[in-house]
Amino acid sequence: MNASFSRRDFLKTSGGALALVSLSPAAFAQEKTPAKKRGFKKGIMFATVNMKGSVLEKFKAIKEAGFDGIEPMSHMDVNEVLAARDETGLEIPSVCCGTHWKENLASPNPAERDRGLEGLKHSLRDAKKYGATSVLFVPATVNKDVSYDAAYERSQEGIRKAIPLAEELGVKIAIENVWNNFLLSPMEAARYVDEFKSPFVGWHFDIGNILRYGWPEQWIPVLGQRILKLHIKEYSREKMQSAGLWKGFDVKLLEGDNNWPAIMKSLDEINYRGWAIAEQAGANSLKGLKDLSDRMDRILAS
Amino acid sequence: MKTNSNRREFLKIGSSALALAALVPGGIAADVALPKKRALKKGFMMATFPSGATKMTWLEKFKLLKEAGFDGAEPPSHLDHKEILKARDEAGLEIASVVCGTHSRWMSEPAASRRTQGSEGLMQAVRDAKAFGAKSVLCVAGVVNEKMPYAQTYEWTQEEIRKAIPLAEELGVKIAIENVWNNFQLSPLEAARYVDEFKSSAVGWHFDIGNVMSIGWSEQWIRILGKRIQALHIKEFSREKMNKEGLRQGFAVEYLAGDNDWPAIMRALDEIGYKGWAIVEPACGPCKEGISPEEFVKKVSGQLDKILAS
Repeated sequence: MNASFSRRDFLKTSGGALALVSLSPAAFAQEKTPAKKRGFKKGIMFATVNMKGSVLEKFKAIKEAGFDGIEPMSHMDVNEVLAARDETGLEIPSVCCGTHWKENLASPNPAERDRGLEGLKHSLRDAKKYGATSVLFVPATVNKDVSYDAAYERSQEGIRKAIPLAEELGVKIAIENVWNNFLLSPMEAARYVDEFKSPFVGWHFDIGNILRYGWPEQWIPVLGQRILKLHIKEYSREKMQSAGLWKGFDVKLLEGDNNWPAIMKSLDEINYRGWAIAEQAGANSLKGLKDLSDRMDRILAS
Repeated sequence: MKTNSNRREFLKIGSSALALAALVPGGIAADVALPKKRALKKGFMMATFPSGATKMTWLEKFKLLKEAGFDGAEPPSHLDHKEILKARDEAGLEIASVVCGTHSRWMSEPAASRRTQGSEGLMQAVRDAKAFGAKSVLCVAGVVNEKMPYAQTYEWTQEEIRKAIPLAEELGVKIAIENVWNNFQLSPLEAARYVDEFKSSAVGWHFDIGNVMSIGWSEQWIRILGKRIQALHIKEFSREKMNKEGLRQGFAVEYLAGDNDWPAIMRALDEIGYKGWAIVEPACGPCKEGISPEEFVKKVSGQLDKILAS
């Protein structure tokens, strides 16, 4: 439904182009959307940049490699990050919460849940200071001790407590699909977000995390306008089957099983225009960063 | 909540045991409340019968199962009724369930005619089950893949299954949807919702214990699906092999040698009050090699006994 909504919007704003294109909506989206000028900004997740150097040195390398912004972890030295941001001119579109794995918001232990909530709130405040519009957040981890239904209930309860702060700061909480054994269906993910009835909860969509059991181009139209940010990540189903589940991530961008043209087409159809943030191995030198940046350019143009 | 009500019932009937038990509720449920004789019947999924037995007749296979201690067999749909009934009666087995594994997968295909063939096949399976005296049919709710999106599969498979409900209600046979590796129904909450949306007691679940272990915990699914569970597939899975050798290699493991937490699984089944079929689906290929069909079936029967007593 979001896809058709976006298409309507698009038709409204660019009616002049209509005469030029085929009347098939699919062909329209695929062939006539200016591929090279999608208006995406390129970011990189700071935690993946594992070259030596200070925060500023890393920012400089990221800038030189052609990125527009970075996604820092929460709980960093805010002044140091702000100084590096301002000196390099990089933007900070998103902050990744640094506590959500250690402090499960759905833990059976109320004290751990409280710490998880504090971590989310801290991340929201960091985001505000950086001028970021959203926080990447893992709402819960399902494991032997945390049942799926308990995770659903407790994580919503925790996030609800953070919504007033998110509203006050004007920073959104973007739930990410990760390998946390939770929110495994795109329809359930959309429902989970909608149940908050707040424009301050949306989605941080990770493309590569879906491939073990699904197709990103199917998730994108279901999540639609809920998608606030994107993680660009590759995955190889071949390695998953022949070497092990986690080995699927051990592949460079454009060399795995993501169907990038189909993914980009689905993003066009929901009219996503925003940040594409790399979360990928290889950012261990300027050369590695440039390679990532170059591969992202090719993805975004596909 | 189910846990509490079961625990209350237990306290009512088994209070004399209380003095012996630790006062920790978990300890009570785990150590004392579990009878070693569960009222579960032992079944065998015929599609996973050892390939060394391909030339055997149904009767010969059924006799082999009977001798090995099984109570029933789970054949595929669309078989000759007379032959199965004769084999069933001569061997003295029951038919535990009928597997509609082929046709039901078509229910999410892009071509409407193919989807119709899917629900027609499902209805045939329901008739088969009625003829064989089986209480449920195993139904796969389509397949999600590159061409069949998740949300579309949800809608289309519900549409097709609805067509089979009047017949299932009339014949008193349950349509039991199985969680399989079809990239669909990946969340236990969504699975329960999917069933409930039919608003018919003729739709339930055929729970496969091993199939959820790459993304979840069987004992959690059992508590969430609860009374919706009509039948069980007993299957082992190794997360270690999944991570070290490849996703599907997780199935290449003997019963009781993988990562299933059988005591926790059986406890969850006790808690939901499950009394029905425990049907083995031995998915481990290498485990069937170098062993005769007779020995294999006996081995699995013994493993199942251990599982059911855990």
